Amino acid sequence: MTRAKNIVSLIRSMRQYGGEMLLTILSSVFKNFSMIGAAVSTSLIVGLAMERNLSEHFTALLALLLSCVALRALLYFGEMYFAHDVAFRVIRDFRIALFKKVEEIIPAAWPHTGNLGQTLVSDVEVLELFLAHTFAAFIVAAAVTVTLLAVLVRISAALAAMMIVFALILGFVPYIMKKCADAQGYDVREKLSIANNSTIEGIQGLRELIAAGATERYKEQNREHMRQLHDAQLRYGKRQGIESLLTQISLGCFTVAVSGAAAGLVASGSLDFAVYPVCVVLAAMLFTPVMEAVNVAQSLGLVFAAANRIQSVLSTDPSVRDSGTDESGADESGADERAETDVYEVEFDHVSFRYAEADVLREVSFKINQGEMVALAGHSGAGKTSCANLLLRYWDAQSGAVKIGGKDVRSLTLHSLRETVSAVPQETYLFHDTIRENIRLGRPNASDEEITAAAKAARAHEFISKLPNGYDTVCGERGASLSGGERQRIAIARVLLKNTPIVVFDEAVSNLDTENERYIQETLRNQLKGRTILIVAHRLSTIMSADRVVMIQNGQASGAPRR
Amino acid sequence: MSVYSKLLRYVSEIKGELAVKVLLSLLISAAYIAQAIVMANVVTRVFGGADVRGILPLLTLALALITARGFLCRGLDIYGKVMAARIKSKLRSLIYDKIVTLGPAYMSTKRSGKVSALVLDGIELLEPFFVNFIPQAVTVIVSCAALGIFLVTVDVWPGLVVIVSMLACLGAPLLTAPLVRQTSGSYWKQYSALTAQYIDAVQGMQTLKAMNAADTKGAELETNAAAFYKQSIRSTGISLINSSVMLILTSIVSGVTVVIASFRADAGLLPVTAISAFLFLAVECARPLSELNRYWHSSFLGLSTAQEFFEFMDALPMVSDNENAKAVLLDDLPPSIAFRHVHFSYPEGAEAICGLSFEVKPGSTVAIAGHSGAGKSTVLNLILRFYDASSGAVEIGGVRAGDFALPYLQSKIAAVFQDNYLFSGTIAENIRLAKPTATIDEVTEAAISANAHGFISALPDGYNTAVGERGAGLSGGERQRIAIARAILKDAPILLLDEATSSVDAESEALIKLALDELRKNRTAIIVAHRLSTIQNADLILVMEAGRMAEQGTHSELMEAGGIYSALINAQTEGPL
Repeated sequence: MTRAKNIVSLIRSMRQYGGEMLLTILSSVFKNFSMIGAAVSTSLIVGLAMERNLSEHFTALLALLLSCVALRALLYFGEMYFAHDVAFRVIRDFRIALFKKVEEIIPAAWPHTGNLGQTLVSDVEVLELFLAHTFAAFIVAAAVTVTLLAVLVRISAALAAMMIVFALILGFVPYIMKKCADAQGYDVREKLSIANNSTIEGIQGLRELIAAGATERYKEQNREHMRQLHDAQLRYGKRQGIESLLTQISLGCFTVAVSGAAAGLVASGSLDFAVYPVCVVLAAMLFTPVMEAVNVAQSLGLVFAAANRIQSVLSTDPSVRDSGTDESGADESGADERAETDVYEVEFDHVSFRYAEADVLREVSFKINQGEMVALAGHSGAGKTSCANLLLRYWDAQSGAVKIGGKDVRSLTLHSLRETVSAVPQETYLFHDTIRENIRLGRPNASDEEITAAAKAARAHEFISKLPNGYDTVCGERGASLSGGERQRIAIARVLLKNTPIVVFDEAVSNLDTENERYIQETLRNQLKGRTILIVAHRLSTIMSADRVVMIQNGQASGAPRR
Repeated sequence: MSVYSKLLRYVSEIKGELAVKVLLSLLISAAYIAQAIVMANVVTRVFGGADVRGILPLLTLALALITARGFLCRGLDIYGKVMAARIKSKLRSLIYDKIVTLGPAYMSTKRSGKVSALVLDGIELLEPFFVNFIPQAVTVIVSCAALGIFLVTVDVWPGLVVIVSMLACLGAPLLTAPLVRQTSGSYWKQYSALTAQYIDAVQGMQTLKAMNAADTKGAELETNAAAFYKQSIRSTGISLINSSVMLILTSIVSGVTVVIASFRADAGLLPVTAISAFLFLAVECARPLSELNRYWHSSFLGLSTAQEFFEFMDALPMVSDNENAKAVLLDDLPPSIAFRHVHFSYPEGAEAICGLSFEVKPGSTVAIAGHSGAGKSTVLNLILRFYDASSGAVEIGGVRAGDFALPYLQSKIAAVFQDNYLFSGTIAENIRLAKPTATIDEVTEAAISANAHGFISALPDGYNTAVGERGAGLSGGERQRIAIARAILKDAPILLLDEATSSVDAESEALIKLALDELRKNRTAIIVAHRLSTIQNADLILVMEAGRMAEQGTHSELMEAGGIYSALINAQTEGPL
């Protein structure tokens, strides 16, 4: 995405806060004028005092100075407050929009979840720089400079011409350095991300490093990454140094030139001496807003990189569209009435599915009758999990249809589909919340008693009660001290509580010892009686316990007799 | 100790860098002041009726000073980057040293996102405080003191006003400091909580969808994002009050004092030429002050992370070397391992080990079997001293584990975990982890012994294949065999192995068994076993149940006894219920 497009989309995001943006810009413009007003009145007082001519203007000038000082502080507060308010609001909007998008695009259109969390939080945070500091700075620099020029032309055309020349030079310096700056900025970020990754590896692989006695070596490697980052930053700093050298010198030349020219005007009598200190002081101040804009422009590379990542997430097309209508009768009123009114048989009707250029399923057809437990068997990678994903509409098939009770799943809304089908995924994800809330996930209004009942049915109650805080124990993001089997039992409790007519069970390839595994099969049979169950099976014992087995081989299905 | 004084303690770590930066800033201030004096003289001369030619030498001097200042600024810019990089790398090393000291036990109680946020973003946010604020504060004190005193000698009253307002300017942040500390502290807490929550939700998105809970979660996040917005704007408001007060004070320095001087000159109390000195020099007092103000705004967030930084740096490790830890050494023979009435609970967890006692003879292999959650992996964690027992003793070679120096003890143990972390880099580098000097022949040999050579050679770049984060692309069994190769290269007298539970086909199972047979030779080995083939090979089988020893004996003894063990084995060999 180009810079221009990026800027446009960022500005568009601020549009709804236009009033506040206007306030930001206005306070900033008038802050600059009050700053200049203070300087003008101070230097005019000096000029008049030197001519011993102060007394008649003193009160007016002092009042002007004091009000400029007060206004400046007030306007500064207003400018910064409004700018940050808009920035923080837009950031909040981006976060909300990004989360909605993430829901649409995971996992089909965006399989790597790792970077997404980062984008949601850090990249959005970087935008603060643009929204709160950069955007207004440019407009203000332009507005103030143009206004000053208009005033200056009336005083002295020569001085105004000088100002235009130097304004162009000042704006030109960052422009010619831009390519170099972008490349170096990219290099710094690259080295930074290498250093960051190395740090994260050191945290995540700490056990292994200790076990291998490699911590010292790791630290040395980490220092090496830091050194490289240091070098990249040094190059960046050198370039930045040249930029500030050039701007400083051109700014200085301007001040000196104005002082000289104005002195000539005073000597020739065409300028009153009292105004002379005003000219000298102002010459140093005129470019303050331009300098501010130039300064913030230095970090724009960082902002655009972040904005690019955000835009690429926001512009990703969801491959699964929520275009169905809500006529399945599945609403939040509860599972029981649903089960009586509808037929919950699952049918795969000539389903073909490609993923990343590879055929995964070809014309797969099979049927699961209501209340039946069917195991999908086959080698790993044969397409078993894909079948489950299509039923759950994590993906959509390219041709054919997955049907529930004769209706194409795509004709249902995602909401009603998900009230009909729930799943125990292979890897149990526990949220950073209490065990109770983790079980409650699918039914937010479930009572504590219902949760305990579900946990008991999933054989999770016993180990949960043994934890010091019982159901109120907080699970870490990696489910800290729970074993794999315990975590899976929590996932089963979730599904039992959710109580949908159709359940997908992606058997964990790991984590369950044999005895546990038998309990779980028993649980599924007893507790989910009457439900339509699709098991993605990895173990022989699971396959043997199903009512029927569908073999998936080379992307095609074939029925197989039980056992 | 307050956050500020603690931060200052870290400032002493970077005295050298600080001194250079302050020196450069002072030289720049000096150039500014010299320029101001020159310009004051220009105004005086023009006042005296000089024409352009009369002030040309002064203007040339001013230009020279400006050029010199330009170069100094360039130096400062460059040095600022160097200093930032040095400080950040120093702080990060400090944090990482601390991470190692705290060990895996502490880290498992923290959300991994939180610690990396501290190391990465937190340090980044501290940068402006160390690199800009602190040096500028020193510069301000020195240059303003000099200028203030000079202005007092020119004229007492306006000089005093300059000094008083400058002091007020420096003191202003201290007045609101408690308020700032409070709001900014909670700002950072909310920020990192929101970050963690978002990452949590994104990672669990498939689960949210499977439970039709994405909308609920989305609404929850929306509420939190909105609350965070309120918190952000509140803390910004508070920091802005501070900045506005400072702005007024700097305006007093640069404006009001000049007016006082002018008024006194007009009244004849001061030679008129002195006021142009005030006009130019008072601005020079205000300039570093307003820069200080700007840096204050940008270090504001950093101060909020500081608190968390200190909490982390002050955390006590769960396991540390005893004060009376002796430099006990083991001989090269495989040592015995014993548990004597060991009790242990994880922080905020139920008792995981309750009065466990057993003994492993030197050079023998013991398998630990039992249901999931019985405490098997905990036994290994206690031997590795990732945790220390709450009571009872773990003894190695007859010596309490706590009496060894921690790194020494860990150097004597080769451990293979259930889920093994592979570092980014090649497979060869990953195998070399414990012995970086190993030749490629040694690496290959270890991989052959670990039965990993076959699949490694089949990879496109063989041993030079790069592995992604968490070893993406390799199965759990393959990762475990790489870890076994690592352990073989480490060649330590004690072997701890937590067998992967993932189902592997019969062929790989046989290969892993062969690898293990090789590995446990001449070592004291404890293996948390899930597979019959591994268990049967052990010299002794311990069966654990709920943190206790339930049964022990050989395979045939235990099968005959008909207890937990025989039930476990039967379940594995029989079919479904």
